[in-house]
Amino acid sequence: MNIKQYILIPLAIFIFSLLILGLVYPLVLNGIGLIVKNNTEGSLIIVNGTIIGSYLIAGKINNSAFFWPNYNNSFISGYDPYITVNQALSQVDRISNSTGISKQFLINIIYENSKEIEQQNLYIFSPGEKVVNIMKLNEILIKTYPNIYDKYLKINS
Amino acid sequence: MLIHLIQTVIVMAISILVAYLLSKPIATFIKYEKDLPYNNLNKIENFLFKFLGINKENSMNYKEYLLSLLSLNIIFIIFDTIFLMFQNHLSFIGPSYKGLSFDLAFNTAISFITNTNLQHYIGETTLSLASQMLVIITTMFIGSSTGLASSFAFIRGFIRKSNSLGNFYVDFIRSLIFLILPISIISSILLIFMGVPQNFNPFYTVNSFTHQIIYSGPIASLESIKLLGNNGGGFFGSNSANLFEDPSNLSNYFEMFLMLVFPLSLPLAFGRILGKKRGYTLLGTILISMIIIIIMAEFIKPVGVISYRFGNYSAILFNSVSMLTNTGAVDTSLTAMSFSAIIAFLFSMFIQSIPGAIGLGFMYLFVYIILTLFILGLMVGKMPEFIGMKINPRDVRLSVLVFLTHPLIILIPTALALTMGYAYHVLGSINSYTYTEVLYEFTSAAANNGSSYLGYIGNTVFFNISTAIVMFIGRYLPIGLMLAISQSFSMKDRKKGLEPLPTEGFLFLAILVFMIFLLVVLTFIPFVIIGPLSW
Repeated sequence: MNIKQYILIPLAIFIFSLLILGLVYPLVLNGIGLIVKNNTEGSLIIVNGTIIGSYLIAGKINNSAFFWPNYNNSFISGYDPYITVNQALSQVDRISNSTGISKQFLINIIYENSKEIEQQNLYIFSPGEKVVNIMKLNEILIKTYPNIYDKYLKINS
Repeated sequence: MLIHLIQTVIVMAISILVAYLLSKPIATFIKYEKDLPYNNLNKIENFLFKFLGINKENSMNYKEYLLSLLSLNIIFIIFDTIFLMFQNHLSFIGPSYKGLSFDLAFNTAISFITNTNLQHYIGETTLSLASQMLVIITTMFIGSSTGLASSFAFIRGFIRKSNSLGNFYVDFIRSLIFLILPISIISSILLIFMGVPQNFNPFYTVNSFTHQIIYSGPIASLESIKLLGNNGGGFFGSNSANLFEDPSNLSNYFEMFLMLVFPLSLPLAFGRILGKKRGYTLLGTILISMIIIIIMAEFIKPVGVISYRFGNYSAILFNSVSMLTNTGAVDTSLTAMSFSAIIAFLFSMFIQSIPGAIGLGFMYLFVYIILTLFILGLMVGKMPEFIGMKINPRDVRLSVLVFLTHPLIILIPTALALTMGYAYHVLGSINSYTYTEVLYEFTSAAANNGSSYLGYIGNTVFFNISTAIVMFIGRYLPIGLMLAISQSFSMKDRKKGLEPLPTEGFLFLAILVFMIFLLVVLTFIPFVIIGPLSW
């Protein structure tokens, strides 16, 4: 039995790998990632210094003043925030009735967001159907109409 | 429809182009076992080899090569098992989660070192960040570099006459340091730009118009090696269906590219050494077989929209590429797939080599080549030859053994799980659906794929230990046998001139595709008939 070949060399590689792959590699990427801090932190939506969600993970929303996600393909930490343009349009009446925001405004932001998503997918990699991100839409509503939405955010509570 | 075709052609074209560029350094590492023709690389690797005690001049025969490979891998199995069992005491970053049971920790250790990544746990609520980094990310690199290194040794047997195959540690360090690690770093950066998080915050608690816990962590650094190394184990229980692992359809196609690039580069590297036509023949065999499987997967549409940000077509294409490359990542739940997709996925895992996982897939392709030449030789009454080397009865016996290992380690545990009540215990009833879930579980384990219907409900002592054994045998027995085949070829005389049956060109390509499907269909069709075919 060749101790060097079958024990010492693999042990040396093991220790070297733990340091390089387990620690240095993710740490270096954390460092490089700082140039797009919003992405590395998880695309968080921050209002007045408080995290109110992420563009990428929707939670369960009961309040009729907001756009809702689909609740059929959930995972542990939340729901897919993407829905089709038609599903978003079908929520316009409800949101408008509950907040008084004009339907035209809601329809406009839906179509704008849908175009933005196509652009993010470099157009050619767009999914077959037109989609919107409800977390992005909700953020637009919160930032455009603070006097309507502040009371729902419970930021100071 | 047209847009889907364009998307598919773009991702395939870019994968083949980058695979072509990668095939140059791979061919160099295969050809130059000792000193490389580049001074800079020599300096780097000589420094590392000196530091790690590796002697470049020590070329190994197939037994020594396998033993070295096993000793490195077993150290990781021991470390990973112990670390996961005691992760509550070893968490130096973020909160500590409780230690895993022995059987789950052992299953996870074997699963990651064998390039399988079957996960009987939910990552975000089970593993501490320290475990994700020191166990999961590290072992993913080791498993995939082991696979690539063994394919270097395997190919060497066919290109030159010698009684050894090279040095495992040299091949391993080159695969890791010059190929897999640098490409992983670049891919992680691109993933971060597409929106994949990379931080050391285990979770955010949100109390606003929604109440939720958002789990995060060093996801981008895990995601790149998960796909590039054909590993497939997610940071999250829901794998790439979670937006933090795969935020958009653009990242979805980028992830498909990552899965394809290494497996497609090996036939091209082979072609660079033994003649371009040979390389293109094997690449063509792989591509045509892939198209057959993808058409089968997309043939029957799933019910409703299964993913809004990808669309049904891209979601299924991702899963197909993942099964074809034996990665095992999924971007939707498997339960959303139609029966034609499940049959396509099962056949991808039965075949294992179109293109199969990094390194191993290409080695399995040679087993099909040897079996095909043997059968053709019988039909035309000529001694089978490959690249001017005679195929002897021992080569055929070893190839048959590799081929038969697969159905045996799938069928025996599937039958045990069904007849001994273990499957009933977790699934509640036995019918063609639940039978398929059990068959799929062991097929995935045997093929070192890692996708699974069971997921965390597979966390029972029986499924943890049985799949661990299947993954271990399914990985190391074929590697050992295939290295023995390669050694046998490396000692043969090579004659120049015409082959009795040409092993390159379009005719051979067509025969090889036909034989791959024929052999696999004949072996596995009974399993499928009582499974998804009867849904």
